[in-house]
Amino acid sequence: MAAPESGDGNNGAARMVTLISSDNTRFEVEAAAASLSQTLQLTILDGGGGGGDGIPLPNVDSATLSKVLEYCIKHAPAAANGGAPNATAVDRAELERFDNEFVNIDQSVLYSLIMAAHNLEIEGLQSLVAKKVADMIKGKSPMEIRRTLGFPDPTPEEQAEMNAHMLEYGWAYE
Amino acid sequence: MADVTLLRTGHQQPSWADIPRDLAGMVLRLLPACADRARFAAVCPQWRAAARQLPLPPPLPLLALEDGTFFSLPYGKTFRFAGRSCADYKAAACGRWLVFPRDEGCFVVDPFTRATVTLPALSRIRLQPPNAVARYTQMGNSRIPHPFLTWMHIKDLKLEVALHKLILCSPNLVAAIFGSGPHAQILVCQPGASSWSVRTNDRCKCFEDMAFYQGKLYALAADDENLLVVNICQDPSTGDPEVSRIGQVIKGDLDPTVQAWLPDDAAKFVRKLYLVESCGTLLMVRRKVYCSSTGSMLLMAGHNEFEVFRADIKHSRWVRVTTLGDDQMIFLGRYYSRAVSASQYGISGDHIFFLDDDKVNMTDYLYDKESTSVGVYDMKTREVSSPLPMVWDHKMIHTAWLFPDD
Repeated sequence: MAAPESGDGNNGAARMVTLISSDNTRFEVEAAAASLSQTLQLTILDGGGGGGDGIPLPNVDSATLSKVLEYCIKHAPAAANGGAPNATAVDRAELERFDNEFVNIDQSVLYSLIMAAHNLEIEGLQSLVAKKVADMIKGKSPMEIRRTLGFPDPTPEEQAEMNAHMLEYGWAYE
Repeated sequence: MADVTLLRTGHQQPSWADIPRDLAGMVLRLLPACADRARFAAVCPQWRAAARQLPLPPPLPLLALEDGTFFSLPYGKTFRFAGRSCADYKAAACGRWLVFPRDEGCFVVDPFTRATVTLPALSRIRLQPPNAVARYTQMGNSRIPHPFLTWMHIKDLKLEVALHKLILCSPNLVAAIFGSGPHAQILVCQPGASSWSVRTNDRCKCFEDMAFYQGKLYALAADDENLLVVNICQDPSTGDPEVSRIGQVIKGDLDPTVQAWLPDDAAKFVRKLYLVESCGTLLMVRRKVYCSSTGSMLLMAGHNEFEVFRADIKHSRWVRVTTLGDDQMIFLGRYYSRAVSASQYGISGDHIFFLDDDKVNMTDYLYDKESTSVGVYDMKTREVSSPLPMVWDHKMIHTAWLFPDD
């Protein structure tokens, strides 16, 4: 299954790879961006994903993959610089602004993103979404957290368990 | 019934409840507040399991108030330990214990696990030697303790001796400072014993703080800022601990301007001392609470300043330090102080968190504000801020930091 011009896997940013989402949409991206995924990096180093072949991602739908790749493309140059020690403050501020806006989305999309980032082992994206979720949780009651993250309404048994847990911990609001 | 549950779960949409354990851990590690961790764990059984089983850095401390309520940093909302009464604790010890002195015994309670350590009642004191008497000398019309004030004078004069500090040093050794101001003495006991032990002929001092550091008990006297080592021996018949000797380890080098009131009213301050271990080093924190006179005898507390000294025990001296280190922050309290790593909470270090607290049964000053609070002193800029959204009307005289993960 090796691609025709597999090369040494090390020949720079211009190399493109194709990713195929679970709903069969093909995405062509620079290998450097896709390599933010530890999982994909191995395949790409092996020469996969180039030419007419694509790398199938059966767990990631096209909407999520497009969002994931948006993140990877934005972060690839900094990642290529090895965590960007020589990045300017302006670059870092721009990335931060991008990140903040990037996760300013509905919880269901955040869920798909963090699951995809977990599957594809994209560390930065996992941390980014985890931080967003932590910020969404901070200061909220268990019920508020459930509503914020789109949990179904608790059954009476679940409600009782939640209450029992809070009591067990010894937490009750004044 | 079990099948029905399975069926229902199977039909549910993918849910945050089912995120992999390591992702739940990533989120949890970004929640340093005790309250947030408890609420996270209440959301669903999967998250509960994650919160119980994953190794996590210790949470930020709680702040226990005398009325039994507490704050979970950084939140300004009060909680209560449900089903447990934590009101009226009289002291706190070692990060997770609240102390309830009663007639039948002194109970040291862990509000998190409800574990209890029973100590002798504060009134049950064994004199050492038992035949000591309070001696006085006559000066004009008044009788003054001679040659100095001892525990026997405190008894004789019926001076109030509230519990000022308590340390659970080891399973067989509990040390406490009884009394405050110049009428303080160090007493020791072991859990389950029938009495505390006190040296009756030793001079009482302004014992301000104690620390159990590298297996030894140290005490700090405000009179002279001397660091003292409290040597302990055991009663051969009962095994009860006793103070055998108090030796001087560091001679304080108290600046005369620190010791005395300056003539200028604006520069008046009350000095408070704390011992705390940070990164293997014993530190003395000297806190100055600047006060303004109200015209009567009452002083109003103003701004705070801090100086930190490292105990150079080898050379018998205090060495001034200007930084705690970029990763260290200190939670300073009358009952218990603790240095912790700041980076684990994702916040910057070199800060001292302090309370508008005061001595037990001996108030040095009043507060002109309705609400007292937590202050944060920046060692670099020497400025105090109150970045925590904590505003409340409670008096802070009795407050204690609690570290649930100790």
